[in-house]
Amino acid sequence: MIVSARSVSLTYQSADGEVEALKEVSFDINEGEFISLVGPSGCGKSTLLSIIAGLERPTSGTVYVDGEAVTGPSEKIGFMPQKDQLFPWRTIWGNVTLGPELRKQKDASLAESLLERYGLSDFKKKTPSQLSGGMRQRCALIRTLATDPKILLLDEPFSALDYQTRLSVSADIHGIICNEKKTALLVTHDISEAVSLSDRIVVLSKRPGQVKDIYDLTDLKGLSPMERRSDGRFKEFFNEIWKELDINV
Amino acid sequence: MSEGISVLRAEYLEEQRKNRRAVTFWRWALLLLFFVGWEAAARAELIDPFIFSCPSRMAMTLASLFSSGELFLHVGTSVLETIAGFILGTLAGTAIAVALWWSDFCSKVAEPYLVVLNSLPKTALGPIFIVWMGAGPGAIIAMTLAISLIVTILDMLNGFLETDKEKIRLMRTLGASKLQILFKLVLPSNFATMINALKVNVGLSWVGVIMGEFLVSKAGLGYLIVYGSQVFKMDLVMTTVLILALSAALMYRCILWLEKALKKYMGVTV
Repeated sequence: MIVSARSVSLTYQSADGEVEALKEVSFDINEGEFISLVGPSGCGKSTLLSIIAGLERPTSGTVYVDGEAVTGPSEKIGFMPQKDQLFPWRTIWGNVTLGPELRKQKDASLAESLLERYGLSDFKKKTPSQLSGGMRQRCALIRTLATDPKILLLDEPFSALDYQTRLSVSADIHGIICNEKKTALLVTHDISEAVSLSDRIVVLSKRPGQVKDIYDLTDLKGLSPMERRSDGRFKEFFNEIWKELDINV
Repeated sequence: MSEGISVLRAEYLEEQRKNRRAVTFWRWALLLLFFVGWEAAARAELIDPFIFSCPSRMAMTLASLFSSGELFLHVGTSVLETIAGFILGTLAGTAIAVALWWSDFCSKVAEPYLVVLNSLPKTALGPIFIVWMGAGPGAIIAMTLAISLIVTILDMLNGFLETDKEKIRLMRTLGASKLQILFKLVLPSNFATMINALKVNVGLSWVGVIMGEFLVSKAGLGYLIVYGSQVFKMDLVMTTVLILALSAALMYRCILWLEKALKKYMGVTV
C-alpha cells in the first residue's frame, strides 16, 4: 500500500458556522494503481486531494504515504492542477523544470529525457501559447513527473478541455502515467472518464463526503480507454455509479 | 503588391491603409486648424490677445525663454521632480504592497488607513510638507509621493491577491517557499499590473509636481504658470501649459517604450 487514508475527517470553521466536509474517509491505494475519486460536486473530492498532498491538515485521522504520515508537501507526491497552469512568462523548458528549480536541484536530466521520450524536445524554447491544448497538457504532466514523485494527484485536469480533445488527452496522459509506472489518484466529476481510465473507483457521498462504495474494474484491465468505452460492461459500470451518486436536479 | 495575395485581401489592406492615412491627416489638420483659428481670431480682434494670448505671441515667448536658457531650467526642474516622485512612488508602493500581501494580519490592520488616505485630497497635505521639508524640491517630491503612493499600493495589492489560486497550489506542492511563490509566481504574473501602475503614476506624478510648484517653488513649469498669471503675462502661461503638455506626453511615450523593452527582455508574450 503506497497511500492509506485512515478515518480522515475535516470540519471547516467559518464565521457562519461549521461545515463538515469529510467524514471518516478510509481507503488504500496500491503501488502502480490508477484510482479515480468521483462524487457529487461539493462533496470534498478536491479537499481530500489537498489533504493527501499535505496542503491541508485533517481535523482527525491520518494519511500515510509510503508508510509515513503526511504533515506537509512531500517530494513523493506530484500534483496536476485543474487546467494546465503553465506559466505564460516561461518557456516550455522553464515550465517543466520548475519543480527541480524550486527544490534547488541542479540536475534536470529527468525533465530532459521526459521531453525527449514524449516528443516535446523541439518545443523547449517555445512559449506555452504556441502549443496545442494536448501538448500543453503533456507539458503539465512532465512538469509534475520531473521531480520524480511516486504518486500523482490529478485534480480534474481535463475539465477545461472540449469533449473531443478531452477523450484523446485523457487517454494520452493515462498512457504516459502507465508507461512511467506511477501510482495515480484522479479526481473527476465525469463518470465515463473514471470508468475508462481506472483500476478502481472510489465513490464519495454528498457532503459530508464519506466513502460510499469502491468499484473494482479488474475485469476491464488491459483494455485501452477507447476500447473500454466501446465495451459492453462500460455502460453497466456507468449506470451503477450514476445511481450511486444519486444526483437530483 | 506582393504575389499570392487575393484581390479581396489586397483591397482590404488598401482600405486599411487609406483609413490610417485619413486618421493621421485629420489629427494634424485638427491641430493646425485650432492654432490657425486662434491666431486669426486674435488678429481679427474677436478675442483679446492680452487675455487669451495667441500662437504668434506664444512663439515669441518660447523663443525668448529658449535664448535666455530659462526653458531648460524650468523644464529640467519639473521633469527631474516628476521622475524622482514617479520612481519613489512606484518602488515604495510596490514594496508596501508586497509587505501587505505577505502578512494577512498587516493587510487587515492597514485597510481602514488605506481607505481614508485614498479618499483624502492629497493637496491638503501640501502645506504640511512645506513646513516639514522647507520650500524646495523636497516638499514637491513629497507631494508627488503622497498622490501616487496610495493608488499604487491598492492597485498592486489587488493584483497580487488575484493571483491564480490553482497556480499557488501547484507551487506549494512543488515545495515552493513563500519567497519563491512571490518571486517566481506573484511578481511575474503581475507584470501587466506593474506596467499599468507605471502608466498611471506618470500622470499622477505630474499632478503632484505642478500642485507642489503652485504652492512653493523658485523654478519649474508650475512656477512659471503661477508667476505668469500673477503678473498677467498670459503669453507665458499659455506657452508653459503647451510645454507641459508636450513634456508629459513625451514621458508617457517613454513608459510605452520601456514596456516594450521589458517585455522583450523578459520574453513575456501575453
